[in-house]
Amino acid sequence: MASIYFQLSADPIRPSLLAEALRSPACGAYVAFEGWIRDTNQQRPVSAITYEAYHDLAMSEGERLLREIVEAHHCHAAHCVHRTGTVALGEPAVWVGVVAPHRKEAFAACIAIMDALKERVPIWKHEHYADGSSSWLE
Amino acid sequence: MNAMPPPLNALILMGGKSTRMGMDKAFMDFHGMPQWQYLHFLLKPRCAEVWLSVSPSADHSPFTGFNCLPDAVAEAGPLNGIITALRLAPKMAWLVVACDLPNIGADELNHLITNRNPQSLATAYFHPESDYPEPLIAIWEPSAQLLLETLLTEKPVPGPISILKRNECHRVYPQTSRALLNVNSPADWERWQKEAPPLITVAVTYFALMRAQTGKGSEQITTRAETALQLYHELQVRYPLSLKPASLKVAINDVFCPWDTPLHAHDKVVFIPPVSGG
Repeated sequence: MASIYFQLSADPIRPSLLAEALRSPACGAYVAFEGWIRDTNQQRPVSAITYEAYHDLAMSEGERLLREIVEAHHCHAAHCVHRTGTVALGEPAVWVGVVAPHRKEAFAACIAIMDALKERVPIWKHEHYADGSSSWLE
Repeated sequence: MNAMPPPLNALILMGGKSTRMGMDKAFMDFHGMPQWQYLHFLLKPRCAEVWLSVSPSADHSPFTGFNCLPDAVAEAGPLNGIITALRLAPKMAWLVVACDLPNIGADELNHLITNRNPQSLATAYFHPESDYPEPLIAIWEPSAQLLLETLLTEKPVPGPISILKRNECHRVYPQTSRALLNVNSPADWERWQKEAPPLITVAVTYFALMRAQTGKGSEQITTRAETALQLYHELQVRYPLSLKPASLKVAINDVFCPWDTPLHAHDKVVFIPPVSGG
């Protein structure tokens, strides 16, 4: 059975600890992605982002997509943590880690997870701008 | 030269305690709230101001915070409120709606407003079979004031139906046969309820832009909506929602569902704005 772990976290993400949990002698490839808060969006200076999640549906949809992608790409494990609440510039908002016997499957699964996450999981960004204004991204 | 037509105000005819109905028609609950409140939600985004036409002797306390317009004349029945409104703002056209027309919704109001002819005295719905006007869902133009004031001196004052039939009035026909259905008696009310979907209460939770635009995290809504899509259309009546159904998804009881999913009492409903995680 592949290992699946999806979590919404109000606390800072600690990628090194999360990576340790994926270590497996059967896997020669570990691919991870971290999404960080960037200081601009469409030329507007950004000061922070607040994430809001529809918790119950985000959890079930997050777990569903990890399971689908792990199976499709024959990986051994896929874990994902997404932040809620306010995340400062440069801090990770999302972390994905995948392990597989070989690198191609792990790379492909990691990309597929991020694409599906941004498409399907009910999480929203509220961007705060340097000028003090803010908006929900539509 | 085409001058701009006079802008629209709205007048909700509250009536009084109806003897035939045995209750105040403005408080009949067709859509999960008193009918005057439902009409207020519908009219607010379509008109400059919304006024409640009330009898001077009525208790106005349920309408605190709303524009109340007590009748300034007493001789002309349902015209009392219309004459009072035209005196209040003689340069405005008045979209008048009574509280006993339960099937009047956004489509019916839009149809009347779109087909308005500001050159005529009034634009009114006509019953297609009898070709009689329904004067209490009509747009009365400023030019009607002079005529109505003159008729006020006649004894008896003519009723609004005969005024509209005798004078230059723009006819609009409803798009559905049920649109102009009138509830005037307990029997009508019972029949209407029997044909209408039952009232249910559902819990609606709002996230992100939906929360910002409703100003609420969640609420219980009592509704006759039968599907998620119908419920969303009702929310569009209550709140200034910018998102169209095509850009939203629906979850019922924490599971993604199609828009035509039937609603049941106590369902938890969430309309999901475009997601933006990652």
